[in-house]
Amino acid sequence: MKNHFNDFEVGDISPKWERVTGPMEWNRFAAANDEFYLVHMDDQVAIAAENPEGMFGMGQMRFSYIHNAIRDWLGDEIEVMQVSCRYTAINQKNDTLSTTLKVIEKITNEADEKILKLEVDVFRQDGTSTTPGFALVKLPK
Amino acid sequence: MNKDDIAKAINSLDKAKGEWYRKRVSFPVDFSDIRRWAIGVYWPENPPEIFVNQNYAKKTKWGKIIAPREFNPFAWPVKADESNGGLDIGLIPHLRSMAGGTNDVYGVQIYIGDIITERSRVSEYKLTKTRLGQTLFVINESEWINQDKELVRTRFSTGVRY
Repeated sequence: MKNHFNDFEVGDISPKWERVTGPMEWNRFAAANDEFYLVHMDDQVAIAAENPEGMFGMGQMRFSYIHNAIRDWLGDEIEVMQVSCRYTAINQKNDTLSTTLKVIEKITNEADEKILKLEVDVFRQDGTSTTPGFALVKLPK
Repeated sequence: MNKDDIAKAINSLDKAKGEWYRKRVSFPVDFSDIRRWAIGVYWPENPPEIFVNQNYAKKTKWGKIIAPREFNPFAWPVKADESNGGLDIGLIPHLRSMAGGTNDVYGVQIYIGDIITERSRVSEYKLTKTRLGQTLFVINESEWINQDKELVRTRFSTGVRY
């Protein structure tokens, strides 16, 4: 697995990390994260909350998908230092969600740590951006 | 939000801003907690070995199982969670809310057996007009420290109230 600083250039893009999500995935995440909000569990409640397509996915789960994409691309020896994102759209039942990461900056800090700044996002199958942001990842020496 | 709601919310937030309003301590993190989280976020595929296979984890630079960075050790509290994002949800009953964003800054890893102490406060808020009408953006800061007083994570969560 490539994870050395010199292996990367600004503009490099990760393989696509993808999942189809619906109640099976959401319920597992809800149980792990104690995130039992009815808009994620009950179509009628979600429709009443003005989402005509019914219950929808959790922003925090998409946040985990960004972490998954980082780990799967860069391996176990990295240290994720920061992930920051906005929840700009929701994901609906059985959407195919995909994440790609893009190197936007290579940083060597005062402690001579080698850090990649990544552009992150999770897209719906129609290309809608749902979770734009960035991540800082320290690479192994 | 009407004018009365805004005044009530701003008054409450002004009083709360900067004050640590909640402290809680997790149970010791269990291997099953980490394993369950990893399975949940990777479902239906298998999670990485570093979260579920102790023999594999021993051979990594960590030397043992680590928790996923975004892992939550506070799930399933004995008492109802008092989390309110810095603005009492009962204060304005018809107020709607949604998650606006997450900004995590990480310190040391979480390992099996760690006990995490959290404290939270309103970091800042902003009232602005959006397509939802008058909308409050409340940024809640929560800080996690482990049993050795090391910083584990600082999270800035943006709650959107409208």
